[in-house]
Order: sequence, then C-alpha cells, then structure tokens
Amino acid sequence: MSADLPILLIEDNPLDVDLTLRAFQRCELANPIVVARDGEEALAWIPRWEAGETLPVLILLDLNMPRIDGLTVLRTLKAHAVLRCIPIVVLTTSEEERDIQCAYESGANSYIAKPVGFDHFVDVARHIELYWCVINKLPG
Amino acid sequence: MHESPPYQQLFEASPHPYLILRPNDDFTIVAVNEKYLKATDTQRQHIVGRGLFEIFPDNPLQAANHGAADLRASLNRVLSDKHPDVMSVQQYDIPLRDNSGRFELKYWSPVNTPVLDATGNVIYIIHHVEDVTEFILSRERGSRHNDDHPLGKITTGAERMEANILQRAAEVKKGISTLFLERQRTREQLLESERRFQATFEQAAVGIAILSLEGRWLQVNQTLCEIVGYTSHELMSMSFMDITYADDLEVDLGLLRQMLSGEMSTYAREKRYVRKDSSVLWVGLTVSLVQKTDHSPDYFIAIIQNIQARKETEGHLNEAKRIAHFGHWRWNLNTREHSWSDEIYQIYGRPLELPPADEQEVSRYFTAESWKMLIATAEKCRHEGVAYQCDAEIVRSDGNYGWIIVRGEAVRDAGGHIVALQGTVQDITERKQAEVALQHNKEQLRLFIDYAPASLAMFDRNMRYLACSQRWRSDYALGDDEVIGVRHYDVFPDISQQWKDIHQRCLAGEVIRNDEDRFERADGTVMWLRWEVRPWLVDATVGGIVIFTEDITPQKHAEEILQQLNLTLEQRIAERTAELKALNQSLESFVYSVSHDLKAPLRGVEGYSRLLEEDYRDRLDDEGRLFISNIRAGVTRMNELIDDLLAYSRMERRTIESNVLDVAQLIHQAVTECSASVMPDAIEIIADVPSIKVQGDREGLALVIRNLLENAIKFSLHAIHPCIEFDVYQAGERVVMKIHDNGIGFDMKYAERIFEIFERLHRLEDYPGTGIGLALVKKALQRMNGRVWVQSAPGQGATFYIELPLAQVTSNDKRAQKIS
Repeated sequence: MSADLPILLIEDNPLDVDLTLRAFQRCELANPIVVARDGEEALAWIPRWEAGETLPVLILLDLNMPRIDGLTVLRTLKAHAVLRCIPIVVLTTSEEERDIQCAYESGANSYIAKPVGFDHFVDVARHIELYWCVINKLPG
Repeated sequence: MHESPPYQQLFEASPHPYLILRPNDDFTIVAVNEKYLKATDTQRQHIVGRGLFEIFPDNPLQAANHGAADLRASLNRVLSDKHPDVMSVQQYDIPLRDNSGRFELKYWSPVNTPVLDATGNVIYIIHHVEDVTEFILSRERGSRHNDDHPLGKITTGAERMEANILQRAAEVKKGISTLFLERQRTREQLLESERRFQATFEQAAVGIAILSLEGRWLQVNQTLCEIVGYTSHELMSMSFMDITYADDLEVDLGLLRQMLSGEMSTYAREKRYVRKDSSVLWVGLTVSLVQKTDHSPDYFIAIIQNIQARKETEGHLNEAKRIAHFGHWRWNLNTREHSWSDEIYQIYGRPLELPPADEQEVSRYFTAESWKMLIATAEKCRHEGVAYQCDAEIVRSDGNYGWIIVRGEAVRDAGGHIVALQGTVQDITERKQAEVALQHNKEQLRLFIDYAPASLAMFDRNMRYLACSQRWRSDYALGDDEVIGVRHYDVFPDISQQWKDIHQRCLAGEVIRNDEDRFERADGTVMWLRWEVRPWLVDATVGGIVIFTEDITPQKHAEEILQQLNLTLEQRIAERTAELKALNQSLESFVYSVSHDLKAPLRGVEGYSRLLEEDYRDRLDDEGRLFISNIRAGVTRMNELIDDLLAYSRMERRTIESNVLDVAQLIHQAVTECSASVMPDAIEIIADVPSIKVQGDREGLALVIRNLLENAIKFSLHAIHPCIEFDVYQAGERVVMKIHDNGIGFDMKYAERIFEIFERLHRLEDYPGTGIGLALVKKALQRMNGRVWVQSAPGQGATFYIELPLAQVTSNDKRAQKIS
C-alpha cells in the first residue's frame, strides 16, 4: 500500500494550495501532501530524489505558474529515466482543448479541470486519491 | 449739188491779161481774155488755136533780144516742175498792127502757172503777164536824172535811148535773177517738202486718203490699200460707203453732214470696214475737212488705222472682266457724275438700262459696316489722294450677301488737283466664302488645339509656333507669353541638341515617338514623357511639325509603386498573416487567462464561502447566513458568465467542420438534454419535423439549437400553456429551421439588438441570462455559412429562424445511409 507515500502538489496560488489541501483533508485519506510553490521548486526536487529521497506516489501539477510553467516541469520529469514513472495528474483551471492536448502529448497521466464549486472539488480530490494512491499500481 | 461758178466771165472780166496755153511744143493758145487782147492789140480770132511763139516771135531787129527763148524756158520749167514760174521782166516788143513792120517797145512781167489734173499732169498753162513798160521807163528816167544826165538828152536820140533801155533791161534782169534764185530755192524747198509729204503719204503706217465731198476716194496710200485689201486703182472707182460696215454707215453719214454744215471740222471714231475678202475689220478713223481759201469745203482728209488687234484685245479684256466679275467705275467730283461698266451693274444687280445709282442708292447695296468703311477710305482718297483697296460686304437686290473687293485711286488734272476718283470693283464672293469657310475651319482648329486635353503645339518649317494648346502653355510654364510666330528655340534657349535633331528628322518627313522617355530636369527632378513628333503636310510637302507630349510622371510613379507593391505583396501577406496569427494567439491567450485567472479567484470565493457555510453555520445568525447565500449566488452567476464568454470566444476561433447533419436528430437530442436539466413538465414541445440534412458543424449547430430552445423555454415559462414548436423545411438549396414559442415576445425594434453580445431586454430577476446566448447563436451560424433572424411582437411569442446550406450528398454519405 502506498498510503504513507507523499503526494507532490505543484501550485503557485496560495488560495488554491490551501483549498486543495482542505479538499484532500475532507477525503479522510492518509497520504501526506508535499507542496512545491512553482516550477523551479518542483525541479529542485529532482536531485533530492536522485539522491535517494522517497519518490511521491503522485504529482498534482498546475500549468500556469511563474518562471517555469507546468508543461516544462511535466516534460522534464517525463524525460527523466527514473522519474518518468511517477504519475502526473494535471490539475488546472483551464479547460482548453489545446492545454489538454499538450499535457497528454507531454506525458501527463491524467487531466482534471478544477471545478469552481468546493463540494465538487472535494469529490474530485476523493476520486484522485482513491484511484492513484489506492487502486493504481506502480512499478516496484 | 453745188453750182459751178461762171469761170468764163471771171476769166474775161479779169483786170489782168491771161492766155491759156496747151502744154504742147507750140504752146497752142486755147483761150485769151479781153485784157490780153487789148494789151497786145491783137484779135482773138488771130491768135486762138495758134502757137504762142508763132503769134509772138522774137523781134528780129533786136539782136540782144532773148525774150522768146526766156519765155519758152519758163514754160518748159512749168511743165517739168508743175509749179508756177515767175519770169524776170522781159522786153518783148509787140509788132505794131499797122502793117508797118515796126515794133512797139514793151516791158513785161510774166508768170506761167500750171493747171494740173487729178494725177498731177499739166493740162494747161496759164500765162499771165503784167505790162510794166511804164514802170521800167519811169525808173529809167529817174535814174538818168540822178546821174545828172539831162532828160532831154536821153530822149533825143531814139537809137541811143533804145540802147540804154536794153542796158537797163539787162541790169534789171540781173537784179531780178537774184530774186529768181531765191524763188528757185524756195521752190526747191517746197518740192523737197512735197516729196517728203509724198513719201510720208505713201510710206505712212496709217492709211491716208483724200476723199471728195461726195465720199469718193481721190487719193489713197499703200497702207490703206493693205488695210482694206483693194488696190488703189480699185478704190478710185469706189466711195467709202462701199466698204463701210452696214451698221456703222448711218453714223458716218451723219458726221459728214455735220462737217459740211460747218458744225465741226474734224472727228474721230472707231468703225468697221468690210475688206475685199468680206472680212470685217475695226479701224480708227480721223476725218478732217479741208477748206478752200474762201472757207468753202474742198475735200476730206482721212487717216485710217487698223485697230482690229486692239479691238480683239479689248474684247478679250471685256470678256475677262465679265468672267472675273471685274467692273470699272469713275466718279467725277466736279459734276458728281458716276460712270459704271456693265460688270458693276451685274455685281450690284442693277438693270443695265438705268444710269449709275446715286450715293444713297449705292449705300443700300452694302452692309452698314462695309459702307461706313468704304466712305471713310473714299474720303481719304478724295482729300489726300491715297489709293485704297478694301473688301466690302454687299447685299444684292435678291437679298443674298456677297463680297466685293473695291480698289480706288484719285485722278488729278494738270494742276495736280483731284478731280475724280476711279477704280474697280470685283466680285469675290466665291473666294470670300471659301476664305470664310477656311477661316471657320481655322477657328475650329484653333479652338480644338487651344482646348485639346493634351499638350500639343504646331510649328512651321522654321520651328515658329503656329499654335499650341493651353495644356502646352501650362506644362511648359509659358504663362500668357505670346509665342505664336516665335521660334521654339528662342522660347526654350536651353533645348537639347537631341530634341533639335528629332525636329529636323521630322521636318524631313519622319514620325518619331516614345511612349516612355525619362528626362532629368535642371533641378534634378525626374520627369517621364510620352511624346510624338510628326510632320504636317501641305500638298504633299512638309509644312512643319506637330509636337505632342504628355507628362506621364504621375502614372509612371504609380506604376513604380504598384510594381514595388507587387514585389512586396507576398511578403506583406506573410507579414499580415503572421500579425494575424500573433493577434489570434494573443486573443486566445487572453481568453485563456480570463478563463484561468478569473476562475481561480472565483474558485477561492466559492471554496471559502462554502467552508464558511459548512464549518461556521452555527456561529452565524440568519443575516450572516443570508450574506453567505448572496455571495454564493454571485459566484454562480460569475461562473456562468465566464463559461458563456469562454464558449463564445471558442466559437469565434475554433475550427469549424463541415458535416452532413440531420436537423431533426439534433433537435430531438437538444429536447432530450433540456428535459433532463431545465425543462419544466408544463411545457409542450412539438418537434415532429422531417429529416432534412444540412451542411454544418455538429457542435456548433447543437449549441445553436440548445441555446434557442433554452431561450424559448425561458420566455414562454410564464405562459398559461407554454408551447414550443419546431419546424424544418427546404427552400431551394437552403434549409430553414423554425422554433416558435408563445411567450412574452418583444418589439421588433429590438430584432437586431438581441443578437448582440451582452444585450438583454429584461431584468435579471425576471429572466436570468448572461446576454451571450443569442450572440453565440449568431456567431455559430455565421461561421457555418448560415444566418438567423426573428419574427415577434410583444405578447405574441417569438419565432426564430435559422438557415443553413442543404447537405451535399456524396457517394460516401449514400453508402453510409445504406449501411445505417
């Protein structure tokens, strides 16, 4: 079981970070959430992971971020020989076809539009954790 | 007939002694008068019919007596010279008729006069003698007295006296012979004169004749014979009447009568003779009457000149005048009389039988203007003697206008005073009309050139301006300078040799042109000219050249710009496309940020208001809870707006597909969707429509139908029996879908506005909505090559129509239909 493995949330907007954390809390599931506040911070994890730090069970990735955006982070990780196996779910406000297309082409494992309604968001968070942290199997 | 004078009585009654001798050898006495008989103491019957020298022989007693010989010599001179011969005083003693055989001493002064016949032959000699014996003897006595010779002494001895007398006679004879010599000289001069006259008479270039008072030819010269073609012999037997042209005879006879009656002594006229060969000949005739010493008419002298050639010339001249409409006039200033030739009558149209018109009448022959001018010039001529020539316009009696050329000059008398004006009038109507026509043509041509919408100029062979258009003037900055008549090269001294060469070539007959010629002006600006230089011809010879130029600099510039534009067009299109792409991208990114950046804070408001509502419900009072509820309603509305706006912008820029769509199917789908979400049960929906295929974008058309349906539901919700009815029908190559509701309807004045974005006709609490739905419908149809319109009235419901192209059925579609 990967209930104790962390989920990496890459999100620049503090309100969104807070709301996302609250939504996942409401799901009453166990995985801890680690936050990277932008692309740079996210990529800074790579050397640490390479150094043996525990890999996240799931990465939740926002696309619109300052400095290094979500797609760059996505492509960098998916280009990494080891790290490319980490499931990356794009969690963003955009419902643009182009964004969806680009995300999948860059190796995204899933694409989820953040709903505006909080109740709906809590429901989405529950589904994510259940699926990716409980149901989904990762390579050893 | 004139009565012959009584010559016999005159002869007999003459106080002088006369003998009439026949010019034969004997000088036979044919007549003698009483005086002679008395003076010589002879009897007529003794001497008439006998020879002179038989009657009066030399005195045999006088040895020195030469009287008879002298007389014979004198008579012979008369015969040969045919002139009177005056002899020296002769002592010719007369035999005493007492039969005593003695002689009486007599001194005589004899004169012998010839009588000539018509041919000049001596037919008689009149021997006339004066007895001067007393005179001679008295002189003899006086002379003796002066020499102191006593008279008695002289007269005493008869013999001595006789000798003295003879001596004296010889002396007298000597003195007289001096006189004789003078007379002889005079006679010779006369003879010479006569010979000259004879020669003149015969050799004269004019015909000369002497005619009797009855008109018979008495003497004619050779020239006259040649003129009339008769010999002199023939003429002598004729009268002038025989050869005078019948029409001219009457006048001749009248004139002769006037002469004979003493009214005039000479006349001159032109008349015609009929020559021997029957041809008619014009002659100029001058006739003078020769009178005798007693002033009675003697004979006529006629001078006849052949004027046939002149007459013919005159005839030709008259003919020429007639043909040329050339008339002659003369105005005598003293008598105020006019004389006109026939042509003038014809020119003015005045009957020939009338006299020349007076000034007032003549003034009516002219236009007022011409008359004024004529009067002025004629006055000048009259006062200053200035000859004049001017064209004048006439009005003929038939009312037609014509043109004449009038020439005039002053005629002066011997004193230099102007006494008359004379001149000519020539009808030049035809020429003038041609001139006027030509002038008219010239004027038209001038106008044409003047106002030609091109720059053109006409030059003569010396490159002098004949004409140029106003455009030429303005194009070459000539202003109002007078250039006509000025050389082109004087107007433009800096003109290039290249142009001069072109001009010369064209003057030699070439046509040279250039459609695009580049010129650099002195100030460096570039000018483009289209030009053509061509010769103009007069009777196949070059009269000069015409230059046509057109400043095509603006066209040329436009062309250059166009070429430049063409070159850069592709690039510009690419640039514009890139610009549009960039613009589109920025628009997309804008819409993207709107969707992202607006939704993120909205999500925050939604999330926290929801957390507040859930986690703090108990700690809030009712009013607090109402506030949270209002916040969340605003969030919902905000979310709808953002979603609609995103949908609209997506419709604007999304790729439209061209699908074959069944409208009926899409309607049913929309009705189903709405029934599941927003459709109240009370609404009746009639969607029994035929299956007609259109060409369109599936998502777009679905959106259109759903929006229209939602719209219809919203506005008919409050009707007593809400009813929405669909219909679909084909109209030619188009398909129309109609959706009718029985809702509140609206005023048609809003029929256009309702399709604009954010346009709303109602308050939000009455009819919620973003004001984007119908704008989205219109946008979608625009992009699908369709259109939308509406029919409504307040309270009458509304009917929306959409129209799309009929589906193009392809083989693939047919197969697909079969399979399904």
